Amino acid sequence: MQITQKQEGEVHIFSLNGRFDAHSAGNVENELNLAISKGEHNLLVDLDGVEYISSAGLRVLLAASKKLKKGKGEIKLCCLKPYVKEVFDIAGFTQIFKIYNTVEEATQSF
Amino acid sequence: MEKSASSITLEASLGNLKAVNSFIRKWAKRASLSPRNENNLLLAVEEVYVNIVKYAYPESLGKVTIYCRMDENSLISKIKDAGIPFNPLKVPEPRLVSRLEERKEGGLGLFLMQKLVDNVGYERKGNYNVLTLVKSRKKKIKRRESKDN
Repeated sequence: MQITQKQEGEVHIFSLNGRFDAHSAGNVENELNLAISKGEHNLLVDLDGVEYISSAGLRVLLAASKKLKKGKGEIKLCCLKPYVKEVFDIAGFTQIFKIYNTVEEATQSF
Repeated sequence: MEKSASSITLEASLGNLKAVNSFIRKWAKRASLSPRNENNLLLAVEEVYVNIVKYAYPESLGKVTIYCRMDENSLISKIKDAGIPFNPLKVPEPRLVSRLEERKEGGLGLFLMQKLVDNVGYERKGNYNVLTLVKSRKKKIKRRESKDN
C-alpha cells in the first residue's frame, strides 16, 4: 500500500493506493494516528487507488474517526471505487462516514 | 488435464496472507469467477484466515490448510486449522448502527464473510476446525439485463 499525504489549507489529505487489507491496515493506522497526534483534525482519505478493502481497513477508518470525534475533528472519505462502495454498503459504513465523489468536493466541505 | 483440486498449507501468520491471496486468485481464475466474485471470495477467505491468525493459536504458531476444488457449478474452499474449537457461524451479527459512537470496531469480518459467499458451513472434525465456503460459478443475470439490451 502506497500512502501519500498533502496539506490543502486546513485539510490533511491521505491518498491510498493498493489493497487495504489486514496486511496493509497497520501501516495506514500508524500514519493516521501520527497525523492525529500532531494535531491534524480535518482528515480526508482519498480511496481512489483502493480497489479492495477488508474488515481490517474498515476498522482502521472507524477507529480514526472515533479518535478524531473526541477532539472535535472529523474524517471524511472520497472517491470510492465500486467494489469498495459495495463493502461499505454491506458493513453499513456509508451511513457513518461523509463520502464525496471528488477530492475538491470533499475539501470544500470542511 | 487441469487439476480440479489442490491445497496449500502455511504457518498461520499475517505475512502469509499474500500467499493465501495468490492461491485463491489462481482458483478464482480457473473457475472463471467474475472480478467482483473473485474479490468477494478473497475477502471472505481473508476474514477467516486473519481470524485464525489472531485467535486460533494463542500459545504457539500453528498451521492453516486451504483446500480448493471446483465442480461444474461451484468453487469450494475449505479452510482447516488445529486451533481452539471455534464456530464462526455462532458469532452474533454486529449491530450496524449508523451512530459512530455506538459502532463497535470488531465483529465485522465474519459478518462480511457470510454475506459474500453463497454458502458457508462449519464442522469440528477431530482436532480440526473446518470451514467450507462455496462460491457459485454461475453468472447471476439481473432481470433488467434482458436479451434485448
